Amino acid sequence: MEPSAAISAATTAQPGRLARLRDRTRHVGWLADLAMLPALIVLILVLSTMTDGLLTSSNLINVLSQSAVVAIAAIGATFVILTGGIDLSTGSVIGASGVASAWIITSSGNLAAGIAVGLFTGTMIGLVVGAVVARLNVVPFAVTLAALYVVSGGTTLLSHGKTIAPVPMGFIRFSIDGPGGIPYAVWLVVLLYVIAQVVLTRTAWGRRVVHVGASIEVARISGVNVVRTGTSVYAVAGFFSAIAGLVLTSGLAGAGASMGNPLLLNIVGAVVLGGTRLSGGRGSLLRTGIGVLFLGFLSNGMSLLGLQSYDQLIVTGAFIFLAASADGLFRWRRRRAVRG
Amino acid sequence: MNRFGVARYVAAVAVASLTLAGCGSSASSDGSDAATSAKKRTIGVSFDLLNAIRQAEKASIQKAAEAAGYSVVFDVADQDAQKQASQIQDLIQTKKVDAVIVIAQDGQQIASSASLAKARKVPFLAIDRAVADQQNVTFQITGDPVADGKAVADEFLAAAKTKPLKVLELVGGLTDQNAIGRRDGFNAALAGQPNITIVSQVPTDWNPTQALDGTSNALQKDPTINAIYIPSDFLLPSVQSALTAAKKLAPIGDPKHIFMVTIDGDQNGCKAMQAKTLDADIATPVEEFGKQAIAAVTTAVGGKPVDPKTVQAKGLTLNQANFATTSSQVWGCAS
Amino acid sequence: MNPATVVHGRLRAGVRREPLLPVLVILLLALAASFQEFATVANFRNIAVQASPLIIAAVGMTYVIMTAGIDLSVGSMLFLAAAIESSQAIVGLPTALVFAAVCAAGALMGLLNGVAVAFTQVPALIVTLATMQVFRGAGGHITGQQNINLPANLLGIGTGSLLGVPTPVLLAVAVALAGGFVFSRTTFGRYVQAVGSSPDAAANAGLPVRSVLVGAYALAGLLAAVASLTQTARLGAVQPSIGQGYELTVITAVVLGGTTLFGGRGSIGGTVLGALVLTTVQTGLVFSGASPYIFDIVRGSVLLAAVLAAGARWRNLAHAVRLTGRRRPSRDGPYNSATSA
Repeated sequence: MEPSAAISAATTAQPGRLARLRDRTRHVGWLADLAMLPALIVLILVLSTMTDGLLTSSNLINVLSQSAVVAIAAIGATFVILTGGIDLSTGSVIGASGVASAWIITSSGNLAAGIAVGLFTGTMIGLVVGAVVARLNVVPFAVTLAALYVVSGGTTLLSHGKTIAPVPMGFIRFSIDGPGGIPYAVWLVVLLYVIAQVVLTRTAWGRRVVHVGASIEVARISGVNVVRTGTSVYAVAGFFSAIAGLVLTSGLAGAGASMGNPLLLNIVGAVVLGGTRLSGGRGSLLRTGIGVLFLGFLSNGMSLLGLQSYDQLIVTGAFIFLAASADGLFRWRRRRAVRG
Repeated sequence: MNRFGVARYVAAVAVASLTLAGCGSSASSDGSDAATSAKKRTIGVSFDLLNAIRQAEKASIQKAAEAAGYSVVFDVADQDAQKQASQIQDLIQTKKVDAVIVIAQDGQQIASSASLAKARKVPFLAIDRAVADQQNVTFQITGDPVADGKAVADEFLAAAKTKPLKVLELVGGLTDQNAIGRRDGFNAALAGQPNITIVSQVPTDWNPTQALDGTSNALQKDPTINAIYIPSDFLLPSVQSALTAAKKLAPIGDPKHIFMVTIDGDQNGCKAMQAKTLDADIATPVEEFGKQAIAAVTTAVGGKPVDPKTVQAKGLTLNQANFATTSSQVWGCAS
Repeated sequence: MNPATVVHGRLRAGVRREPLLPVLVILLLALAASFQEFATVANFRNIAVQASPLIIAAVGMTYVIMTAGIDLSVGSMLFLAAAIESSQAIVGLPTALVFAAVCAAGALMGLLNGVAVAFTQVPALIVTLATMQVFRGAGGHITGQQNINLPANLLGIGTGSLLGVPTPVLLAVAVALAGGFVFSRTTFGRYVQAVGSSPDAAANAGLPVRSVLVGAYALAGLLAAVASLTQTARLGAVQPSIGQGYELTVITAVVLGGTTLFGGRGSIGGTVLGALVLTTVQTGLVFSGASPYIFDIVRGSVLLAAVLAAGARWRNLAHAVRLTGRRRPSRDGPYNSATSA
């Protein structure tokens, strides 16, 4: 809804309009969130006919564990995008938190301290970014781009470009062992998604996040502290990026400053592929999960096919576009139907 | 979604998958034909990226593999350590290759892939970039980046005997362990040398444009620079362009000549050596990488331990003095 | 009225319009004062040459961002254009034909982006994220991920000069002037701003929204190809890593220059200044002999500082326009005024 229209709606004191806006922005129902599921299923079917072993239990578990890091970071990215913002610094925060925690763990031997430091690092960076975005009122793209450079450069500087390893065996086995043959890391992803979805749909904070994304002026007028909500959402993203950094360090048995940078496109791509609107106000963790799986299966399938790396790029691009346009097709048709 | 929309979408996906099939079949002539022919052994190869020297390394592996009767499946990780770990996991667990040869994006972080290979009893061989934790590595052949850096320094020291050198040092990727090794070896060997001063250290992040601009800026800042250290031939064209623009690209013998040494030994380096604009090139023994790796695969799948387990193939110094006799051994001069 | 007041007033208006100008001037003066080799004609020529491809590509990106879109594929377009230039089919043709072919290829790439953005509901971020992969893959296919040296006849556009002015600079000036002219004086330029401001209102007013979008992206593709011609000529060879990450640099230049990512408002002059500031900072870092580790930190800090500084200046304006519609000033985000709520 156009802010001007929203403001005039609000200032003419029509509670009906406000309530309707709230209804429209409330989580629309999980059935709509599955909009990208057909695309995912088609992809898996197509890939399984062309490769051997895609649908074996061992490979399926691999896909899940290979997607774990992106999946966790995408939780934070979803919240940020729900407010209509974007966080380009995710990859660099993953690296920074991983390096910080690995450094503490290898130098002091204290696993808990290392994890705490890693989580703290990510959350603090997110808090600072959020404060600049919301309090100082700067476009998220510019702030998080600046943060990307500063955090990445800073981490490289402080670690002298060296990778910090080895981390303790127990930490590494988190990504390998697990009940049912499924690594603990994957179970963690599932748990985090459930928690995040509950937070989004059932807590006041989650509702505030969606309102801010839907229309910031209306949210402010209806009493939401938009600055605090806006700040907190980037801190939450930093927190989840930190968890992702820890899981990545576990999976790679070490942490390097640049290890998270290539993941940014997958993280943002997964969120938007899942159907969460970039303009904010509409989306869910379920959607993001489907988007993550889409990219995970695509990558896994192409690896199994042994495609040349440049052909893989072409196919990835084509499929991202196709999947996104399928959802778009759906919306366009629905809009056409509504307009009559 | 009405029926027409679904039909259109399904058609689009079908077209896309046919394209995928087309690409897939042309590439899989490397790999999946193995299933139909007599049980040919398959080697999974995982590279960190693909550029001129990696193409040479890939070619050397393929040549040796073909000679030994192996087929090769080839993956590139686009400088993403996590993607490399995923690709190796797919190679080992789903494609069930008989051995993996890896150029690690990160020698520390490749450890989890190495231990996976060990657990599945798949020989794990590393080339080009050293793996930190050797316990799960079947065989490793790399260059010696620190020694390469020192070899460059030796050339500088020899040249500095006739006149003092003011050096521009280009720096490769700041998180690349090979680049770090080459830089450290060079700097350590020149520490305290009175005749040689490093006046400028320019980061390039292995980006040709940054090398070009950085060199121009450094030359502008200090026009008395008379020596340049380029840690990879990959950046040589950029430096040559910057020198040409500054009217400072001159062959040996010309008073304007700037003393330059590079590492890797690719085609550009060889050509520059021939044109006498490059003073020395420390060539990476790319042929050896492929040959010895495949030989080690044969030993390993035969159930025998590989000995020696670690080979550090020093770079071959190609300079103007030995060019006539040595150039034939340099991979960049051969093509 | 006192002439000093008039000049002062004009200066303040100019600075308010282009807040980056004093930043650039101060930067240049500070560097010139600190390093004697900085304040030479040769050095300024260097900076201008280095900034030129960025300026050319950034002008195209400005148009795209003004339509409230974004083009993440510019780095890959740069690479694919260079790959096409070096391909067997093209590289041997007469120089003028090669340039024409590459420019046409660039326009086609942009056209692909534009059609996808205009005719489907897919957001520009996703479209260009997808084409970023496709173009780089296509380029890799053409070059086989090898280095390919360019023949001498194709290098003039990067290394040559006319009447003492280097060719890249001439191209950049021409593109910037043309871009500014089209922006402020042609129908297309006005339509671009209208579409970016409010696509629905533009559509209702009968503007050809789709054609405008396609045109903006096609222009961006064409200019990326031109930038590629001059940049690759300077490098002398096509290498697999050309253009990687370039999109962030280009977008940084545009954002620095004051064009808002929300669309509808922008400044070609600002983009040019943004590119010049970025290049000057880069050069300044080399001159200062700074440790290689801090280059990225400085780059990010400059971006942040410029955006914060401009934000402060615009905040009063923000108050005024907040209630009248979606017009958000340059670098400000939607969290208008930290003082309320």
